[in-house]
Amino acid sequence: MWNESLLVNTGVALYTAAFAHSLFRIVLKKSTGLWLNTLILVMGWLFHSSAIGFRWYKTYSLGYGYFPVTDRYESLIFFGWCMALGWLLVRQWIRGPVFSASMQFLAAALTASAGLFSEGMNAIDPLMPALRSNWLVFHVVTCFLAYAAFAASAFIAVQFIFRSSRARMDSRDIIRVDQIMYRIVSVGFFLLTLGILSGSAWAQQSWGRYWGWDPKEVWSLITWLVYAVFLHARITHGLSGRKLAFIVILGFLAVLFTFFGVNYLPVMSGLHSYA
Amino acid sequence: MIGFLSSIRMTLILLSILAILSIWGTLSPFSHIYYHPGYFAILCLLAVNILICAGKRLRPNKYRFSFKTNGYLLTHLGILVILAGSLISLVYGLRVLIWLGPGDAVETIENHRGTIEKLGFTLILDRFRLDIHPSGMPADFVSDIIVKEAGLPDKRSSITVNHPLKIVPYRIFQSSYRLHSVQSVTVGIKQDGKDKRLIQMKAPGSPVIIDREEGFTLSMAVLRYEPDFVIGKNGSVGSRSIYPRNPAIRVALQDSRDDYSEHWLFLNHPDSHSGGTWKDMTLRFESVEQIYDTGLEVVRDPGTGWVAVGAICLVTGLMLYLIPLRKLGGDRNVE
Repeated sequence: MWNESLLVNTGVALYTAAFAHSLFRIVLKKSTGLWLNTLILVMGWLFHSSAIGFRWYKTYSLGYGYFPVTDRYESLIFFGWCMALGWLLVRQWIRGPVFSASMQFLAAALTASAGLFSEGMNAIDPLMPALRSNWLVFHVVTCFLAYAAFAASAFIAVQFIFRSSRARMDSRDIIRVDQIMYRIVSVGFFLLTLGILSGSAWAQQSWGRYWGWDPKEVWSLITWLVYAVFLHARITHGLSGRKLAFIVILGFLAVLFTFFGVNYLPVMSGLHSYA
Repeated sequence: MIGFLSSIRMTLILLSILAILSIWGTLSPFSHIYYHPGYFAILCLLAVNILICAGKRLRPNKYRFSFKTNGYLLTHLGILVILAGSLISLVYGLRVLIWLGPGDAVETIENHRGTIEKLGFTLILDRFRLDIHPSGMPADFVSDIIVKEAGLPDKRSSITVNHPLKIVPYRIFQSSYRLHSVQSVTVGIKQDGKDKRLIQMKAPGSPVIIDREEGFTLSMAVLRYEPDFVIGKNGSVGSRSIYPRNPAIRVALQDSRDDYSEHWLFLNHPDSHSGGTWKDMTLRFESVEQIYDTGLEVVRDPGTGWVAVGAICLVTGLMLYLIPLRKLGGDRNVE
């Protein structure tokens, strides 16, 4: 009998398999086999999706009815799902196995780590009143897809730094990678803007204030500012590709802190305390 | 000077400073850095920087109609409008938390400058309801209120989380709640040879005479009420939460012969601790329906509309900006 955790675990297993396959592609220096890699990941993603759908359905059959992204366990599972989706969306531009391996590892690790936090936390509880809002799905989906885009751009940036330091890239490659990085960051920036603004609208509806300087809000602003710096620095042409790549990595560190680190700050306020 | 103010270099510096100050603000949350004049100055400089940069692009000989240019202009216009809106919120906005118990009325509020402000209507709390799921989690917070306005019939309404009440120019939000200072409990008394009696009492409250015979009176008072009784590490008694998960009352009995005793009575465990037995009497904690105060946030924020318009500009602008990006990246074309 299929249940949610079996679906999740099957998803994680297939992500790990895709990751291992990418490692083989790296070691064997194979540029082929992307289709097989994609097939494995898509299968994992389908299992993963059905796990989320299953839980979503269960919240309704329990009478609470909400999109399952409302606690640490659920949001890690959804984070992993967005990573896998993010890779599927950008893999046609970055076909290399190193990038694939990075994204697939992150997808597997995030999803699997939900299990670590889940000690008694994976029960479906009724939603606290403030979370019961139509903004929930839009806010969370835009934020996590932005995070996935930023993860992708950061992995590209890391690769860019390594490869350009070994002078293995010709100028056409550098321009191409720079443009892909720019494109993905731009989409991520747009999604993050939507995420922040929808969170703002939601806060306005819940508390009558669109901005309250809670640490999660501020860190999302910091992330936004870092990528704003990247977008503006790129226009000046003054900064080299390597420096821009460092900003992109810095931005992703800010993303990680926004998601994981904020909980360890001196003051943590209520609604975001799980994720 | 103007040249530097309007340079991208300046933009980069300002954005970086804002990011660094914000990081500092989250690390030392009591620094209130976001309200510091320095932070404000940086935001002003950023606004000036944006204004001049955008102004340059708008010059007739420079402006070319394209997704990219219009996207750029709209995005930055959006940010300016959002900044203006937040300034309006900061200067003219008002938010006050008011606590109301059942039957309490409010017609004035004190703003953060200490000035008393007339609401123009009277807000009366009928009652606050805390709906609890079978699992014990709070399901909803509802303030049933009555609004009295001169020349208008009384209006009944409910304020719940995510559903504020709008009375121009205010919006009133369900923000908080706490246990009312006095609760109403029912105590059952069974005496040898008599029928069981139920007495409703205030908790805490003054003594009530529960037995009177010739030359003898017995009175009882509820000294305290604990909704979720727990004994702490040092033996002190308190509540784990304000939810009625393990309600307990401390009652005192005193007769006219100066015999005195105190007892803990538990709603969920009527027979524990042999509590409630005194002489020929057995006391039972029969019921409590908890009474709450509601915390309502009265908000007046004329900046909200500006911020909303700014947000729409920002999103539309970024979308326009993204459209030409389709032509980039996928192939080896140089921009």
